[in-house]
Amino acid sequence: MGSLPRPIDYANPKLRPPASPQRWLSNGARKILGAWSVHLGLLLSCIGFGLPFAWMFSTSLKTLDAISPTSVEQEQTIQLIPNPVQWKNYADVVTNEKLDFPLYTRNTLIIAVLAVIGNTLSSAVVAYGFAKVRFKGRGFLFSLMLATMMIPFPVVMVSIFTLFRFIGDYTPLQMLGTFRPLWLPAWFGSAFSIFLLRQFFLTLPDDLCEAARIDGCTEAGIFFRVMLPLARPALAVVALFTFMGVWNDFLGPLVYLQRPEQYTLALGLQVFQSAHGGTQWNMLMAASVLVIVPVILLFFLTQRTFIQGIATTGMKG
Amino acid sequence: MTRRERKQLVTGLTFVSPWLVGFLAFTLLPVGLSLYYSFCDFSLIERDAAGNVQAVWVGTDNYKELARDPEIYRTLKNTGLYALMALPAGMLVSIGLALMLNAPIRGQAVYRTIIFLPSLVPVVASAMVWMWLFNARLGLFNVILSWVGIAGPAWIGDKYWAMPSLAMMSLWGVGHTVVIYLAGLQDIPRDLYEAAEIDGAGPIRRLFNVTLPMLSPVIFFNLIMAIIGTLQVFAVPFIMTGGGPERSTYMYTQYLYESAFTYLKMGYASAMAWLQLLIILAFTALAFWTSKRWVHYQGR
Amino acid sequence: MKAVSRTILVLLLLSAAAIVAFGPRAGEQVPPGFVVVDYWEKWSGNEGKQMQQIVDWFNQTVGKEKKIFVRYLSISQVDRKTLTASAAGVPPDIAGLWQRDLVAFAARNALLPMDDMARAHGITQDTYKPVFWDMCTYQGKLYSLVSTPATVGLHYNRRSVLQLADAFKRQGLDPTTAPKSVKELDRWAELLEMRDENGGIRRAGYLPKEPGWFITFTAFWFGGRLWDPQLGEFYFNEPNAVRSFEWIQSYPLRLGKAALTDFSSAAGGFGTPNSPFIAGTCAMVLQGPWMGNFMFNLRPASCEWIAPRAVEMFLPRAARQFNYEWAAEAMPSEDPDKLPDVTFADADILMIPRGAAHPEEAFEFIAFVQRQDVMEKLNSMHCKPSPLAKVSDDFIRRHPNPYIAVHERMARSRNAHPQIKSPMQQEIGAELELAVDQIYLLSKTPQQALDELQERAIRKYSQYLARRALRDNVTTAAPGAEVTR
Repeated sequence: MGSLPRPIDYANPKLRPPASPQRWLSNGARKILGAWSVHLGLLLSCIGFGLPFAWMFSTSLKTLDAISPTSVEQEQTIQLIPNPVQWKNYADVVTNEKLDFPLYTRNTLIIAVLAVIGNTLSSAVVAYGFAKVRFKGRGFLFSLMLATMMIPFPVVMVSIFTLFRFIGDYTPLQMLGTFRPLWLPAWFGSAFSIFLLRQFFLTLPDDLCEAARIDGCTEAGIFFRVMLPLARPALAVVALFTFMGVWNDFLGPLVYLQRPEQYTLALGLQVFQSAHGGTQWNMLMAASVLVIVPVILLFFLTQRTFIQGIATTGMKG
Repeated sequence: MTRRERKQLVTGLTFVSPWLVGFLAFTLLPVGLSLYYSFCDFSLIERDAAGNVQAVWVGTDNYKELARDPEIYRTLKNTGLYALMALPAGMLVSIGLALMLNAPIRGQAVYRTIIFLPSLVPVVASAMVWMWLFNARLGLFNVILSWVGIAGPAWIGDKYWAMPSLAMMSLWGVGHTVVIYLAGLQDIPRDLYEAAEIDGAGPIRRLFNVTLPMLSPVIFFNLIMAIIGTLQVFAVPFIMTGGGPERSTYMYTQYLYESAFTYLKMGYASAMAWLQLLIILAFTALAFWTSKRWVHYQGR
Repeated sequence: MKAVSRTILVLLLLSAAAIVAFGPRAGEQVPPGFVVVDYWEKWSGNEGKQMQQIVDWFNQTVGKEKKIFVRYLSISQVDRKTLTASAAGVPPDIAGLWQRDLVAFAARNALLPMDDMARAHGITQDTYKPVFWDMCTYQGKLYSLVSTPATVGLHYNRRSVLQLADAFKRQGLDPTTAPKSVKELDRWAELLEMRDENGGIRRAGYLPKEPGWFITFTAFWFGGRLWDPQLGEFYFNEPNAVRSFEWIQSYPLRLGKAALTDFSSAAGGFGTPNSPFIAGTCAMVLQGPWMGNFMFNLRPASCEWIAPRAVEMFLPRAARQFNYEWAAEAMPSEDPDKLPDVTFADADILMIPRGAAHPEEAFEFIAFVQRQDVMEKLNSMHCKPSPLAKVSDDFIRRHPNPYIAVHERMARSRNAHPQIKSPMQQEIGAELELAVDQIYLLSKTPQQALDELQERAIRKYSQYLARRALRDNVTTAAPGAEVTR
């Protein structure tokens, strides 16, 4: 027979549990109330966050008449669910002569592919250097790199533009008037990706490198044959983020793209915004839906990778 | 330096070289160049008699003009107003959402997804959608208000409502920040909560004495990023209001962009950029300095 | 679940790759050995297609002969884009901009002067109506040539007016001819207005901001000048200008800001059937000759009151206008006796930016457009008058706009004003628009807003002159080559 737990001596004031504050609800009830209020809060928030999407989609299916009056006599009513439903709007957007959707998609994809490949490769190389090669001044350079993340874009916007102009004028390499300003810098790595990958490389044990070194592998060999294959998940994160960055980028194309046949989707969408005032909202919403759908799709397919990537940067910041 | 060290240095630099070259070409050089241009009169489009593009040194003239230009004060005020509205609201909302999304209830996956999605949307698209939402006659907000009998304001068409509207819209994209806070919340060790509960702390106490202090490094990180972000805000106001109505949402960066690429006063724009950089640095330094008081690093 | 995600992802990647490899490419087939001239124009839609016809005409005749291929590109915000592209060093060969953009480029020596090329093609000052030559030059040099001109006048809904004929006659107004003075216009506007129970605007009589493209020039109709190029002075706050904007402000004051905002946020944009004048929700507007086309395309019924279009051409010229529910006449001025036929003369112009790859070939196309037959065909399609001094009878007789005679008359008028041409017109224009906004949105009185505008304009101009002086001292100017201040 085991020993029974010693009874608490309630006579001894020192051993009494601290007096709990008066509660007018039992613990169980409080938990349920808490859960329901959280549910309510989140539900309301989700309605707030999701409503624009719903409205955008609904507008994209409306006819022009449902949006603005055609004559003095017409009654003005707003419908939440469009009636009639005009799927034709989407076809109109894709075949629109003002906004060459297929061309812009292709442009955006070209830039994205080049940027993703360049950024992933170069960031990995640099990150390895920062993570696994102990050299003098490494800490300083790394801090310098982090500091560059804080430089606001406007400071360099004009001078980079000017630099590109001069490069185009005095060397055979044309920058402005091509896609290059948007993907060439990516081939030199980006601070964000380098940081991410470095954190990852740090988690890989040094013994792997040591073993390969003993086997007579060069540093480059270690990198390409040992480290890189192991880094696939982290590389996926970087690739994903770079792609999203290019797809969503507006300021870069606005400043650096000069030839209209080279516009990206982000820039092209703004073209749709009529300069004369009075936009065709249904077409614009349809175009917006088409621009948003790929990223959302991509997100759902790669959810975990995505969230992980964001969390990692925030954590060690 | 020993031979080994030298070899390591060469190897290290070789690996780091892509970034190093990029840094020199796309950061150091442009920053220096922009400093130089801020002291010049420079308009890329103007050619002299020989057909060349030239920057003419004017000393501190650009900076003097900065001090005199009423638009600078207006745009700084606007940007500051925006930051004041959007920053605290953004932090409260994102921390609040993160706390709720951390609760042990069902359906979190769905909630988290819906709240995160808007932050993925391209800037242009979200600007378009919200422009339509804010439409004075046909936008959803005023339609819903009209059902309750309230005549809604003109939102971005009204010079007093435009800025609050923009600040409100910025809350739509807090998804990124919420995720970071969530990760931070999940890192807080359970036993701290249990200890607090044993000590008799209610939920509010636990929030202020455990959660927030443990979250403070993450809050600090997000605060810095938010300062840098809101002081540079450009795309959304540019697309949604173009700075109007009556320049009530005319932000500093838009003025910079227009000075450079519409009015072609690139020297002036460079001076503006440096002023902006200094202001951002000042606020960041302020944040760092005060951080010693309230940021609590766990055993570092 | 993961397998499904994987497959979808792979499919996405494959389709992306397909688009990249086989997707659309820009550019059309250019005959080998031809020089390609890039022509950026603002027009899309019908107007764009019509210009494309002219481009095709050139490519098939003169172009084929001289081995030039003109590539027409429709660009939105073409003014900004051309500026940036010029700054980037990759401008188009021909830029089709607005008259107001001329100075921004010319003052910075960013355009190729056309005097020599024009003379070689037999184009001189006498070829044009005075106002259109004037607007293409800057400081004595020719920097552009007109593609399509315009004069603006009052367009009103004759049908609505005639429906209220009795009310008009009772007020002592003549509903069969256009209002002659600004005061008469105001009375017309009040009579034509229709409100609903809540005070919202069902139909507006006259809206200065519909479309409001010419609102910044209102002072012209009141005898104002705005800018003197000889003296280099602004006149934004002289009494004429202030009076003109007090008149403008009288409209939002009377109609109410809320009602106006409500009205305009639901109004359809220009070029859609829901645009206020076309839909009938605004009875009078200050517009240009292209309305002939837009009215017919978007609301054919308004142009076929009596007979269908095909038959109308056979009606005698005087009778043609009765087939239309709308009418156009010169916009009334404050004092019709002192200032008859006041108008703002605008034009779409063709210029060659410096740094263009093929300037001579570009001018071949521009000269082609200046030929009388080409010019008249283009402007007949675009429904605008002709900038040339010589106008064929056929042009007027067959023109789609029954009121073209009015526009031609205004184009030759002594009181036809072009755009004001200060060197920093872009900044001044932005400030002017701000002042107009402040006036129209009732934030400031016209005197206040215009006083501030004048102050700012003077400041900017003196700053510009100071910088100019600095530049000219530094850059070694070859005589005759530099643009003087």
